Amino acid sequence: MSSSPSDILNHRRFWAYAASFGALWGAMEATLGVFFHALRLPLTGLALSALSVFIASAQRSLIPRPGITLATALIAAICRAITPSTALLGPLVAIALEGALLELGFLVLRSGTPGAMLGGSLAVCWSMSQGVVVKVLLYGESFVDLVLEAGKRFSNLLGLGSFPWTALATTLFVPSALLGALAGFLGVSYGKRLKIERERKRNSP
Amino acid sequence: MRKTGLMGLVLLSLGLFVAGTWRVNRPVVFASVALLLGAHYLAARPSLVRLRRPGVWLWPAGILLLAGMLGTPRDFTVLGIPLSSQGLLAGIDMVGRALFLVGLGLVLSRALGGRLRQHQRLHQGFPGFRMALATAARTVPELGAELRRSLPSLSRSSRRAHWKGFDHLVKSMLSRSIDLAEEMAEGDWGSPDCSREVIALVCPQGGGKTWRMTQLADALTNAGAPPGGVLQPALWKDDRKVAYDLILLPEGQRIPLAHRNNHGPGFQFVSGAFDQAATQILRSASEDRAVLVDEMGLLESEGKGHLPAVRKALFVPGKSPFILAIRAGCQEAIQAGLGVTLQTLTAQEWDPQSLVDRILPNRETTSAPALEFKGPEQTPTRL
Repeated sequence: MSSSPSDILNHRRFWAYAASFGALWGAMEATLGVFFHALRLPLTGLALSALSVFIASAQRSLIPRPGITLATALIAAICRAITPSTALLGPLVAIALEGALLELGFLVLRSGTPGAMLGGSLAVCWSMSQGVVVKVLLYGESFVDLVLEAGKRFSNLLGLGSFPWTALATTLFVPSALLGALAGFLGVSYGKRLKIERERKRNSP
Repeated sequence: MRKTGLMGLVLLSLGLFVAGTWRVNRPVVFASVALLLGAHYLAARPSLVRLRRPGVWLWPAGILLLAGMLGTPRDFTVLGIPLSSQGLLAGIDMVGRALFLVGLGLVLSRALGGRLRQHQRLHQGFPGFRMALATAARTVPELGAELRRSLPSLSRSSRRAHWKGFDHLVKSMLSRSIDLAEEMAEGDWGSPDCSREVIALVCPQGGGKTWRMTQLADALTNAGAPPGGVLQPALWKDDRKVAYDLILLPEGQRIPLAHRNNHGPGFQFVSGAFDQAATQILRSASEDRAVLVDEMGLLESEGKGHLPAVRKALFVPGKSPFILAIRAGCQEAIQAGLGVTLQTLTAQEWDPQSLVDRILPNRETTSAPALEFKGPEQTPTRL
């Protein structure tokens, strides 16, 4: 081990920000998430993932270090999973994958607004499709056949030629992607605003 | 024993499930599900309450019904609804698989949760992911409470006031997280990594701390393991301390630290000297050298001077010990400030050679040049 003192301080800073924002993300999932789920509000997952994207994007604009979003997401996921009474793998997998997709966005388009928007879109779209993916994993490929058959019967019942899968997917995923991109954009702009305000406060006599 | 038995049950049910699915043997699949749920009951009784909720059974019931209705051929009728036995069997397979996977998830998440909590208790002070996780887990309730406290501020009368309240809430939560991160980065991480030995030479003022630390530095250098850190010799003139210098180890570079205040009592510190000392202490720790810090006194007992640097350096992974020269009467405050247990040695117990043997058990003696330094008990230096 031969790292310089500035490397050590950067390392500490990286983990300090990951811990603090991971805690914020985890707290948000454990309070608002549990509250929304208890109320059985529709599209809870979508709202929570948009808030997660917002937090992670704000953090990334404050400390643009590769890997920090994934580290934060893993911390948040474990914090959420070990919260009393909610020891389930579902939220853990969802948060970790959202973090991985956000990180992917930042890796492809760098740690700025475009990266946050791309990563945010992917993360929110994942939360939209997670239910379907999890059910396919749980029930197996027979579930896909079942859903396709149900769609065919439903369209026959309505007198449609074939079930409009493309239209359905577009209706579900385009608004989700837009919401994710908006959350990413807002997160970065809040992060930048806070950075400027704090620097101004520090420099003021 | 209980854990081994539980793991055995989980593995057995996993094996049965795979075999049952492969051979399309439904009784075997359902036996595996029952076994797994039993294992889960042994592992975490309270979470079985989950199974009483209707929501848990609605999806499987819906799947079963859909499969029965959509399957072909429809060969029997229940309550006037034509159903397919083949479809129902496919539905049973799906539900069995889902029950098994959910049960596996419950067992694993409970086991992982317990293991993580145990790790949190055992590894407070480990830098990196585990440390961050432990800190985050401690911070979650605080942030959650702040979030709950702030939520009522959103219910304002006008829409504009509502958005202002929302903006304030978001900004305050983010600011709180940044403050916490900055505090953590500056060193408030709880107890540091205690895998390093921290030896303290406790002597009264003028008791020869610097001289003894110099002896140890020489002995370590002669043994082929030049130590790092800082020594803080005093400079004397007419039997009066007039200044302090810093010797940066292992290079031996000498820089001024403080000189007697011309306009009042006490000493005036040279700007940037403690920063240089901090850099040297951190670098020495990261190079895994034995770190000598002379001296830690009144300033350090108030959390200033060399204390923040030593505290940060204790987080740096490594095995080499820290040897601190502490002024008598300050050791308790310094121990509390560092968050580690000090192994205290008095001047009478101090033996550089036995310390070298303890620090370097498998050493090979080499003839490295000794540091050129003369302490106050020998010829006064400079001036």
